Amino acid sequence: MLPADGDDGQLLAQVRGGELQALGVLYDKYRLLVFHTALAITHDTAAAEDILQECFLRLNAHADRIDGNLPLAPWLYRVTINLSYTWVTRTARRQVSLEGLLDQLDRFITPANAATEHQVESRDLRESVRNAVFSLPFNQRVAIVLHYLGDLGVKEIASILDCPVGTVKSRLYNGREALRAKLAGRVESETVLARGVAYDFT
Amino acid sequence: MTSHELGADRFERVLTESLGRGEPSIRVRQAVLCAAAEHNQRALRQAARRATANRQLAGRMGRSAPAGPLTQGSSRWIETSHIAMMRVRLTT
Repeated sequence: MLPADGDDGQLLAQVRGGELQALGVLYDKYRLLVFHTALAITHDTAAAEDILQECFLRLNAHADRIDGNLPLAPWLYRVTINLSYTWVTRTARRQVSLEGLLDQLDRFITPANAATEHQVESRDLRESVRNAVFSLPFNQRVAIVLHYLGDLGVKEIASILDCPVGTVKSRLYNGREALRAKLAGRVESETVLARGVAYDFT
Repeated sequence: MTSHELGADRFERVLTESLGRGEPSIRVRQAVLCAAAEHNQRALRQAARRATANRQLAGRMGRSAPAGPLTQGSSRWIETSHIAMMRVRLTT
């Protein structure tokens, strides 16, 4: 759910007055919302940090245009998604994910006994899920991230993306089905191995 | 309706758990505050220049220009930015 806090309006007013301490308070409160969303969409830590920085610089620069009576989170989500879209369209094709390389290196460097088999399987599974999400078309990816990471309902997502509720529902449905298809074998086998239970995709 | 209200199955739980991860570097916070302080001071200087130009224009036209709101509050802006800059330097 979107955090609604009356203090945000007061903090925004202070930011408008040039008080950087208020900007710091808002940063501390919302940094993970912005960072996790950007990271889930871009799948790149450096890009997510750049987006986080740019998002709060825009908040500082445009504080006078933001309605302090409304929750701040939708505005932050909107800017994060726009910045992520710019990053994805401009650079994603040219960049090799350093994080992916580091993860692979880590598997070679980490001693076999450093992590239990279950931990390794769990980490690999989560990386597979992130890769599968990253492979979705941008619009489906955003809907999936806002719904499962941000725990937002379809109406809230529709408001943030400025599109009909039906569009959000179809993006969520298509994204979820594509993920199930991509991850079916992987999630099923690892879940069975790790937990000794069957996986139900229905 | 949220994923919890829909009754998230295991697949959806794995999805939720996989997406939220990590912390941004503390340097991002410092960079945001430093860049914001710089932006505020630049905006302040621009506003002061505009106010001066308005006064000069008003003078040429034989009218007195009202003092701009930003020029009245300029000392507070600089002071606030200065404190933030000091705090950033201390934590670096």
